[in-house]
Amino acid sequence: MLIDVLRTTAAEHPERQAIIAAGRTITYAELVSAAGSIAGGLHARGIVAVGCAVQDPVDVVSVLAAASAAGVEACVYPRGLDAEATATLAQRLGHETVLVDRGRSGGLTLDALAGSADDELPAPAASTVLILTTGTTGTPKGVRHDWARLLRAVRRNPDKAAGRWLLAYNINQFAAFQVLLHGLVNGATIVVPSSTHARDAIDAMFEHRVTSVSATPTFWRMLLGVLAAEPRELALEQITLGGEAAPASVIDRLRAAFPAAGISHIYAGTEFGSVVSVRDGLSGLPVSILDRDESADTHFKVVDGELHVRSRNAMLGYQGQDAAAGDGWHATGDLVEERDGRLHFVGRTVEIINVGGAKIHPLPLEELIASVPGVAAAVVYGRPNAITGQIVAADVVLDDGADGDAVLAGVRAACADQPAAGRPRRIRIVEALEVRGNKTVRTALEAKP
Amino acid sequence: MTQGPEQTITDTIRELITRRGDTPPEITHESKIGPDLDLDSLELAELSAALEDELGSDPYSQGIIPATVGELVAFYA
Repeated sequence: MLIDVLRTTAAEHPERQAIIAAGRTITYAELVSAAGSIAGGLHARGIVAVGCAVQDPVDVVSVLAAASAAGVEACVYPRGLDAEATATLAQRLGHETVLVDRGRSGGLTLDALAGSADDELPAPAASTVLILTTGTTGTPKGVRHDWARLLRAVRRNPDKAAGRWLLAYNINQFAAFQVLLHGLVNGATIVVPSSTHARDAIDAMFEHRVTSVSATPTFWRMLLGVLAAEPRELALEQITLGGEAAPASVIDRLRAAFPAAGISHIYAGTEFGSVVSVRDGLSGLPVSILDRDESADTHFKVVDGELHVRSRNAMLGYQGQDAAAGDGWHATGDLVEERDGRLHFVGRTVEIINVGGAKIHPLPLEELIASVPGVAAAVVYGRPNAITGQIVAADVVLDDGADGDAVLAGVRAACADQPAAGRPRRIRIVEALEVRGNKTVRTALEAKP
Repeated sequence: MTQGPEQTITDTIRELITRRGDTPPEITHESKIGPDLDLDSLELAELSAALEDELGSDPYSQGIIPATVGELVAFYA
């Protein structure tokens, strides 16, 4: 349970800061105490499942820890929902109780809930948490995880200094749970920036001497862009990329910018958990993961180019459905190609661009375009077309001072060797790539005149 | 000053032909988009997307396949 993790560190280092958020910090001992009080309130009211719409990250972690202590299934709602959207989500997830910030209507405030101490609480037999998918392809689904399974997958580094970890994900995302759990299990201090935008993250990293950051390649690209314009001394020791395929171009740029830091990329999904951590500095996954013996917690196979995962630490199932049936294999939606002993990501099944029947993968094209001098970032996507169904389109962000026409010519030249259907037919120069949850959006965009 | 649809159409077709390594022929209203200009389906797809971007609409998206440059220009009249 999350609460046990906090209690362990609180016993050894009660005064250590557990969370530093904008305008508010909390120590491990205070966090255990706050969680105990909330747990008592949840238990006294007989609540079995609760929606968490509070916005303050310290409160969110307190609620999660409290719920884990009381055997209550909590679900952190996306940030910034209005009262109507909150009520709709609560109804869909079957939450009779929603926790809200002080002064908000439509739910129970922590002040109203908190009260009794937790010392009479029986330890729950099992404890689950509901995590919403990001819903880039439809309505977010509730994914039910077991705290014990989530924690079993967390790597412990007892020999390393605990450090300060940045929470570069929104706290409702599965990736945020991974950062929280890894940080808290290892007795670290979690630093929450005022937003997940690169500039705010850099401010928080600088002010609180952050040592470890786990974030999407899209985030890292933006961070490098901001740092190039406004250099800051950052004390990074560990850099982790996740949530999207980690391109070699981003890994290489990070190594150049932070030569003293360790760099790894993780492969994870809300449904199957965090299943691979790659630390050799190369993009893609080592092909050896396909040959794991039965004793391993996670197994992989490739079916029709799509990576499938089976993990003992996977979800219990989707909310509103029976526990995950079948043989435990999960189709990840990630397409891979084997090359040089690695499984390279070439795109998502939903991102395949169908140009008159030719199937085009976006990621290799993005890497090709990103290698053109003057290109800071690129995204490749399918654009609807009356003649071929879709055409390949690309949005390109220029390096500062780069000449747009020269870059366009360079991109066309770089793509000239591609099959005709795979060449970008429309290339736009844009100020920034469209981003959702710090991931690059690759769905077909409407043309903008 | 913005250029008219005709200029945009002929410029775009010239660029497509130049990019594939050919020398663009003289483009007139009578030029047949298929036989004379030899645009393949991918080039037509690109032409339609370019016209949509530059001129706000394109005939192909509305199910109209102009045979000549003149018919294409007439769509914007």
